[in-house]
Amino acid sequence: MEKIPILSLITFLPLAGALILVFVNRSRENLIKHLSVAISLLNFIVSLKLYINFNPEFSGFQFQEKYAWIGMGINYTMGIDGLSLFLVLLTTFLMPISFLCSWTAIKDKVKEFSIFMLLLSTGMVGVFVSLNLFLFYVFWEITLIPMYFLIGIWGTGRKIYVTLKFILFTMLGSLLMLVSFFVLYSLYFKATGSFSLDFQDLSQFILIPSVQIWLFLGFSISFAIKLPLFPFHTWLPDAHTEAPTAGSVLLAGVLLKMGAYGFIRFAFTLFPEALMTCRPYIVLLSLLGIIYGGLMALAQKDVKRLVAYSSVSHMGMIMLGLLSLNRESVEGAIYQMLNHGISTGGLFLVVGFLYEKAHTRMLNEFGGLSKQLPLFSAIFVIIMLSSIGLPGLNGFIGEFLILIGVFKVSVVWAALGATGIILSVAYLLWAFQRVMQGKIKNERFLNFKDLNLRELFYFLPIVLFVFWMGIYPNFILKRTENTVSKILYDIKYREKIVVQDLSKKDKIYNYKLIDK
Amino acid sequence: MNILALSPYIYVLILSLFLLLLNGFKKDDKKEYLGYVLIAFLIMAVIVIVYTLWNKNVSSFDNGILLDNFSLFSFCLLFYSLLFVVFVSIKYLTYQEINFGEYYPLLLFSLLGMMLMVSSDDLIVILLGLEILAIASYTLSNIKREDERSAEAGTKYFMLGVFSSALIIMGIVLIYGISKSTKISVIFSSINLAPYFLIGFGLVLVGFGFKLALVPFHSWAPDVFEGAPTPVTTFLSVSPKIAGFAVLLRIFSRFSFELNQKFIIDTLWIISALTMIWGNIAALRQNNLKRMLAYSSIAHSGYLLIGIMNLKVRGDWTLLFYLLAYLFMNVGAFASLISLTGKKKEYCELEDLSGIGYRYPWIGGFFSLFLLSLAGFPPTAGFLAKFYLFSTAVRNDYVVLVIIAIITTLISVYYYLRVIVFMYMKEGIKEISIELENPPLILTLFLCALGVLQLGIFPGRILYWIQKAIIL
Repeated sequence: MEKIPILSLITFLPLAGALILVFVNRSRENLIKHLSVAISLLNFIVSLKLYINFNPEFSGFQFQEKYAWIGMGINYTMGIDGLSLFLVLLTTFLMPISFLCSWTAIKDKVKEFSIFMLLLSTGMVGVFVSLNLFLFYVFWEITLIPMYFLIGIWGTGRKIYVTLKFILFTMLGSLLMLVSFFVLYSLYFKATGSFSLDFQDLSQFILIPSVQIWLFLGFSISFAIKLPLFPFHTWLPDAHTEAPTAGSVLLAGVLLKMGAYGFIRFAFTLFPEALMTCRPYIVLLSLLGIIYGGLMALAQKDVKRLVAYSSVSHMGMIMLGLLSLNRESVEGAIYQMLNHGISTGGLFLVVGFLYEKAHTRMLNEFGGLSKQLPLFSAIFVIIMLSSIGLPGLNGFIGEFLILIGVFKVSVVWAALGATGIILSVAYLLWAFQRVMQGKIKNERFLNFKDLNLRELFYFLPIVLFVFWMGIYPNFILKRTENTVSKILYDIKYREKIVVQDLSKKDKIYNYKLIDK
Repeated sequence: MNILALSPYIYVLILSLFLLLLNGFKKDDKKEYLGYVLIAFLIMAVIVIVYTLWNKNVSSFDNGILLDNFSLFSFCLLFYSLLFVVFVSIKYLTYQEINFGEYYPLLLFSLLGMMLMVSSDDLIVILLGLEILAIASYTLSNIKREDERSAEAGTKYFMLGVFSSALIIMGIVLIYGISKSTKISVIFSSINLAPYFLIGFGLVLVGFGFKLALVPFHSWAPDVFEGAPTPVTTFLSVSPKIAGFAVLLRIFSRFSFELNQKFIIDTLWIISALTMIWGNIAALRQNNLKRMLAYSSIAHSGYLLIGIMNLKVRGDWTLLFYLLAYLFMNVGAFASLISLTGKKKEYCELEDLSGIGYRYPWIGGFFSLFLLSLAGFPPTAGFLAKFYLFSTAVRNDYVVLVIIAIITTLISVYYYLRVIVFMYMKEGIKEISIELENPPLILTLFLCALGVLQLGIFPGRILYWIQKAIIL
């Protein structure tokens, strides 16, 4: 029991499940659906073991696995710390929920749908647990293909255009990141004579700022597209809107977090000096994203597109928190990542429910549903308030921590960032009012039934966490504190090392082992 | 005259003559048995030749025939590619009613030519091999005599090929005039920068550029690939590249990459960049899959040329790894295309593929795997091959070229994925009737898929052999 490679298990269990599904006959749709929920639920339960056995006192990587793989620095290295622990849990948590919400929404090619979803799960978990840049890249790319199929086959509207835009845009970023990997790889080789792409080796390798800038930009472009940072966000509204519900939930709930995770784990830690140089610009882009996302959400006629733009706004807030580089804001940002996964995932579930019943997403066609669907209405209210950040619910903790941290750095940033909250109140409350309140505009809506047992089943965990994370955030914060301190210490402490030691002008590296 | 050194060639020659005679004497309409005979003898040949001659460095004619480890490795690549081509041809020829039993001996003749090319240190022998390969290729392109496109393909290939061969001969003459030797190890160890030498070398490069479909010598490729019968296209897209790049590797291994040789490398740089850019951009507009794969083939030549430039840091293993990965994924892609043949009809247009992914899920799945590998998605061989190639190139300070390569790779993702879009995301309207009874083809698909995944995830063993095979 001691040395079960649990991270590999959690990563590859869905893949094994997908392989089993390949051999199930396509017509046995019920079996396929039950199997996929079972596999994803099993994966979640196994991942809970991570939570149970996680040591909050230790700030480094836990559950590490390291196997030589292809050689020349490409190793199979995995590990999690406070940052990635909860992202993994979020992923495995959202998977069964996504399967449950697709039960009746996906009517044909159910087998392929389930297989792609499970492959996506493998990729997503793999991204968060990989500590070797090559392995990270492999998993990062692996998430693209299933998403491409999910949007392209089961999506709505101009799905082919949207999915191609999604994949090409994201791949552009990934490929530029790959070039940065190559340069980092070769610089490390020139400096030390050995190859390595392991994060732990590379994080001790310090480059002079003028080289760091290019590598930082190369890494960041990929994460900026994923996050999404304004103005690289243009793929997001289309992709989120036209994806099937499960696809949107996972896109917003997990894939966007991959961008934020990439920033803090790789871009900030490996190139801190470049970070400090670029920080004002990225902050500007984040603030623009917050305000632009909020304003655009206010202007939307399609409720799913509204939620998509709210994602842009929220992720801008998270980025702002990460950039302020103090304990409160980074902890808040991590907390808000989890919150966003739950509340925006919940919002997409809500919208998906509406679309499945009404076959429309246009706000002007809805109205007066709260009388028909009281239970649904209650859940909608809770999720909406969570996204807004009502005190007592999870959103408040994240936003509050971020704003406190940002305020310490700059009052202006905090003030502008807070407008995001005000805008979210506006567009969400207005959307709710247009959908649920007022007069019923469409006769068909009179036939709608309220939540059935299955739908209740997937909404309840979301609601549960909304309250739990709002009332008792410590179960998360306690485990992220030490990691956040360590990361900030790495970023800030190294700053001083390079400034003192920059003597050789013709060498572009300054290799120094930091004693821990 | 070392008989041991000549034995592989004699074997192949006798086998091809044997098949010719067999074809002549047995008046059968179906020629499939010839293919099976070829396969059986060829598999025996690979095993015996490699097993007995590995690490022995047998040579003859003063290194005119040199069977070092690199030659044997290249033999393996050539034999594999030929085996795959034969696998996919057997049923194709029957369905398309191409009843020329000469097809198989012609393939063996071309194999003989390529074997001579990859295993020689002497330019004259390389020329000899090149010509044998060329004549066989022209004939193979034209083998479907009644089809005017096949005739056009053969004629175009012949015209341009003969011209390029003439250029190579002129080039060799000039090189011989300056260096007083035709041995590669002598000529290129100390590069003479006399003008005539450079002109000669340039002419040789032009000729090889034609064979490898490098820009701007590539114009024959799309037409020939489209017109020739698809198994021949498969052959043309893989085997001559292996042979051509092997020769280039032999030549450039002797370079010391000093500063005064910089402009030769710069020339390669420009050709590589042009090839990658043009090959990928032109493929965007193609609706015929054979033409699209032709342009994709051109683009991959561009990437492979970067491998030649990697020789500066002893990075030739990246080229060999890429060739192997390319072999599997390209043959796989063409094999998937060949599986869509009916009686006397072939389906090669993009629209024909609408909805294929659901009607024939295995074909769709295989084709998608090979397309993703060609595009360079992990965890396939195509990704790892590109990773090694580009990371070594960056170490070599060719960062700009790698950025060009990366951007063109992104462009290529679009047209590879477009095929997948048609297979899975469009509704099939036309009635497609294809013959699925094709065991050799299915075997090819499986083997190529296995190769692609194995190389992409666990390449360790293969890398070990490649390291052993490098020219010292």
